Amino acid sequence: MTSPLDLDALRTAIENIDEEILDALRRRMDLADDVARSKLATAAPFRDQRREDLLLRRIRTRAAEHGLDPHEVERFWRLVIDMSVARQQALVTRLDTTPLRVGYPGVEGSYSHLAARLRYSGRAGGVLLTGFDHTRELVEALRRGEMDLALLPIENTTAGSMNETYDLLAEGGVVITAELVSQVDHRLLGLPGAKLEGLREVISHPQALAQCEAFLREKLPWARAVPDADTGGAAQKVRERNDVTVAAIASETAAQRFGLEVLARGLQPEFDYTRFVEVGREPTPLAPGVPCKTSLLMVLEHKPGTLGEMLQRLTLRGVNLSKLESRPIPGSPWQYRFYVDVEGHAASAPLTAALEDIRPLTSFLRVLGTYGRAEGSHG
Amino acid sequence: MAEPSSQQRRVAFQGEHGAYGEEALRALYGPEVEAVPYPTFRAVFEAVAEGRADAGVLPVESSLGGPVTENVDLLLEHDLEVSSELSLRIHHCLVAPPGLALEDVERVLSHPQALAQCAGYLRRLGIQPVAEANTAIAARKVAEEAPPRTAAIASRVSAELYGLTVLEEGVEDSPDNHTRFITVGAAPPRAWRRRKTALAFTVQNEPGALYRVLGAFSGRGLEVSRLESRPQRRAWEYVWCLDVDGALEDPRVREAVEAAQAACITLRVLGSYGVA
Repeated sequence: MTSPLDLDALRTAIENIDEEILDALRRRMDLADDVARSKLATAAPFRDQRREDLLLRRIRTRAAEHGLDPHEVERFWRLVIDMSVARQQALVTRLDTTPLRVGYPGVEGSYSHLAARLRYSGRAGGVLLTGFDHTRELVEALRRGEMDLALLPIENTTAGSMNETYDLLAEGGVVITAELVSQVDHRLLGLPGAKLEGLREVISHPQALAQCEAFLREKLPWARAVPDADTGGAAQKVRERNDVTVAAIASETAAQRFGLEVLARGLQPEFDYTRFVEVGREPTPLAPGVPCKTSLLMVLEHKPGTLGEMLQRLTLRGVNLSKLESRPIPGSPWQYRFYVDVEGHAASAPLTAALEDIRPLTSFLRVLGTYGRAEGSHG
Repeated sequence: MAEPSSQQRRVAFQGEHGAYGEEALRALYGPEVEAVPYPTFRAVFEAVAEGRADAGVLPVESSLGGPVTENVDLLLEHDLEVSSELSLRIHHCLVAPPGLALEDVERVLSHPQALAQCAGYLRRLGIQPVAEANTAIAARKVAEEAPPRTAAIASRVSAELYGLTVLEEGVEDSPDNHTRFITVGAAPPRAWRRRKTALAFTVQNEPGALYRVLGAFSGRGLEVSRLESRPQRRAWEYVWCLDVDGALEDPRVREAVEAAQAACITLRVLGSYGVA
């Protein structure tokens, strides 16, 4: 039995511990402010579900090691994370300049995130980057005004045009405001201590596995290639599985992000490039004389002569085509969608006239945006 | 081992026995040739280029999924000529080890493009798609490893080959599911419906450059049935791929190609061949 005096002493001890907890919590919140500033400056994503999952997993493990109930402790930490995020968001509203809210598909360390960081880090006023699991969710957040811009991959030297991005652009409500070309540079990533000769499995996006096929065949014939949803997610899996026989093909940034070692570089025979489009709700004004291009999406009847007729009408107006790809339309066997880039501004006299000329040949024609041509983009 | 007939042709395809590529191969070259599976499309090209196979069969376009860009690029990379073309109707089947009922299937393995072609069906049944390298590998994996509550989407031939039950046939969302295959190397010995000529070319980046090439064909009453740009492995330039109806032996086609050549930086005839 505990005496009343002992109880007072115990209560004092508990109060002291509570003070320690509060002090630690305040210091943790102060750090959250610093983290927010650093994220704004370096264009790192603001709320990252996967990072939170990793943190909670670590907390559960540590809680169990301390002899505490992992689930009760997790509930407590979820509250701490919410407080921390609320504090970071409050800091953003206090800033003099509003940071730009930019969304990208994938996790931190994905190639879309790298492209976003390249484009926006160092921007005055800061950037709030947010990764989205699904491109559709990202575009819907943009339409609702929860994001200012979205950065979407539209075309890759290996995979060609990305149908999903074109689908979302075709639905309207958003326009292409810029393009950028970014180099894909794969690394083989493993846990610290992992050796090439000990690998049994290599995880990555199917496209990345295809790009590195020669490397895998020559250097890792004994390892199995396992497809995954994205490269960043593959790197995360290697970390989570904590198995030295598993490696991922992903970016250098993903290595840093998930604490992995670079086991090999130069995995592709040649460098691979991805073209991204920046998408917003309003077109960006372009200075006169800036070389620009206009992206179009159209549906043509698949019958002899239509394609040739369309090209002829564009040429008669002096409009040059720089890209043309066709895609079948599932469920409409006799129609094709065409992804077309032409030189010039959609509002210019020749292009306006040309679009009116070709409209009767199409069952759908939409201007996806006019934007400045990227450096290194000759298309 | 029986002595292989010196006359017997070896034809390469990608995947494993039971793949749709093998079905296309049989449709073109018949039952007599030896069908040799290779793990990748690149390996098929290399086997033909190095003379280990007489011909190779490769998918280049799906009526649902669009172009198989890897093979378009491999064709541009190698010196092999296209020797024929075939459009194959694809019937996907949901296949599983004997004993697994349709309502117990939770996951399904297949090639990403096959999964995409059956996306609506899988969504309706609440089945989770899992990517594999190809349909035949998916079928073999389901047969040999029997992962719990797991089926595959593959061809009927694969199901028969690996002793699997066909739970449902024709699970693709669109009835118009065709894949266009081409062959490289020796041409299949058969009659053709029509002939066409495929070209790859690059043009100067200036107004009308592309149209001058196209004009060479339309001015001679020739029908351009396909025109596609492919980004090259240099940021960011395109190579154009064009199909025109007619054989290169046809004087009109030959003249048009020569006229087009004058308007291009580079031009290569990928092949002039029969369409099955």
